[in-house]
Amino acid sequence: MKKTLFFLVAIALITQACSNNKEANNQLETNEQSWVADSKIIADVIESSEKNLEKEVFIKGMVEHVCKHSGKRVFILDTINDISIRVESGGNISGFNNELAGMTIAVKGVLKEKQITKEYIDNWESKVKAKIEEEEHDHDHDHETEGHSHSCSVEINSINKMRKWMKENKKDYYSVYFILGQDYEVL
Amino acid sequence: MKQFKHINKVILVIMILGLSWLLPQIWHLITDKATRYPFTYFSSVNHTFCTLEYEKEEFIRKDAHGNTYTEEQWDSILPMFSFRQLATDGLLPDTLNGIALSVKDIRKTNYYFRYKPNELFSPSIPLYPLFESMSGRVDLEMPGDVFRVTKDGVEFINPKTNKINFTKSLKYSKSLLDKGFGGPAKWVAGSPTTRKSYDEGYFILDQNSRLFHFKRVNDKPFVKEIKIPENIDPIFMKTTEYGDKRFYGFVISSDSKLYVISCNKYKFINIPIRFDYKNDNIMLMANLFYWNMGITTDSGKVCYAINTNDFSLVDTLKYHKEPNKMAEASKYFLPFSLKFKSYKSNYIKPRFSAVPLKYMLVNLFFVILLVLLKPIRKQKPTPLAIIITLITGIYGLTTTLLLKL
Repeated sequence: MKKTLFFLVAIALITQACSNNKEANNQLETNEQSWVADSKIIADVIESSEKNLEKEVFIKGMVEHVCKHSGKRVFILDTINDISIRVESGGNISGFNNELAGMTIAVKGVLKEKQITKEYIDNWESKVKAKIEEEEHDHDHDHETEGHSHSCSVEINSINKMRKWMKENKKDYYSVYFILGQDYEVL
Repeated sequence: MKQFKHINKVILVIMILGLSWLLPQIWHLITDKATRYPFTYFSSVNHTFCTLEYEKEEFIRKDAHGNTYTEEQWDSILPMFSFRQLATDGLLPDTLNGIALSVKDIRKTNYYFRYKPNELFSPSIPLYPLFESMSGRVDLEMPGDVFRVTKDGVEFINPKTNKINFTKSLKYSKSLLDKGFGGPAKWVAGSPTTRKSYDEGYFILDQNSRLFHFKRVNDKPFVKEIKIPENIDPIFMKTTEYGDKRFYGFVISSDSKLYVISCNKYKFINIPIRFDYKNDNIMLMANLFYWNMGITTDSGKVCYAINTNDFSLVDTLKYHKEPNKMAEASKYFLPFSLKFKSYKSNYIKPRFSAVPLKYMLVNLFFVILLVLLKPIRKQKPTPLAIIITLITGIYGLTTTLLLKL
């Protein structure tokens, strides 16, 4: 009798442990899937930017660049439409690690706008060009120089896109949308 | 009483083994001399090796061309080593080799690395603290739990309660398994201390020899597989969290090659040195311009100067170890030895080594001595005693005399 009772109690405990694990696993998956699944590509978010301004958005893209020195911002790229957006760290994000470069992430954050004037763009472009010229004269091709070269080419591309948008929309400023990140998941 | 019939033979064997442990130890204690090599550093000023030796109660500072230097001149030709003295004296150059110098930059790029074979051959407790690598705080904090790697991923355990945190374990295990991790691990490399300026987590080699970078970022698991080049079989890794953030650590392969894993896309970069990971020590003194690598072997020391930026070999300097005549002499009368400890391993186990057969001819001398001792012992040596002495030399002779065989 005692042996039977002990056996039954053991079975009950094992079953409970297994269901706890399964429940923990399911809870884990549910939490992750709840907003990651809702994330959209950058182009879709930018297209409805006026509607989404100052609101929580869910966005995904490939990490193109991580700010090496502070790790406080990344640029993520919509590989289909060749649009990138800056994500600033905030909320649950203390910073971004360098190894995220090349990985696809989903970001939850608030869409923000900064209006960049034509004068600011002109000044920015001249500074970047000066930096490029300086690096071209530098023969010491260490890895830090390569990192700066990469970030410079990203900036020039961004400047050219801004000018094109301003011309097409007949505006003397460029709206820069960025995400103030709250959380992210690696996909 | 049958069980005591062979007790004498057992005692005989134990005594011979005991003497083979004791006598070599005593001999080496008396005769061993520490081998000292000059302090050697590659100058960033005159691009040659410079050495510092203590001879006849004074320091001799010279370079590879034979030029000697005073202490102040020495500081000037080794600015990367003596930067604090030069900065105090106001003599630190503003630029060197076209690069602007500051005490801060020199400190960031000056670091040390040591490897001894006993680090690889050493028991360890496979429990590791996983720090938050992006806490936003200056100092790292102990996480309060530790993890171990299992065949199903990782398990986080609270060491105070000895309970497993299933939710956290599942979350982190899922990240590993999603990337193709196959447990248990062959090895785990990381720095389980808060006494470092930042944390890069751990590097785990799984059962299928796939390497993963595993760390905790923003309280989430971060896992990335690192592609190992085909010709590299990594058997050991030592992580480094240096100020310049160029590397994740040093990797030793099974064919005794040394690599660093670069922070730039996890590239494996070969360091052009020759060494034997089972026997040789490595000492690295790195600076902004050169890596000074010293490889200490059983036969001497080789110093390498390696360009910090492209890891090309710049120069080498060799020191030969003076043969220890007393150690050589011991081969004639200590035919074999038994050791339990080794400076090349932290495992305590019996290690048996014997001299080449030609040295064992000396055992004939001990046999003759045994026979000549017959009048003093007042007994003829038995055939067993002669055979034992012929095979085991001084150990057999001593045992025979003590046991009165």
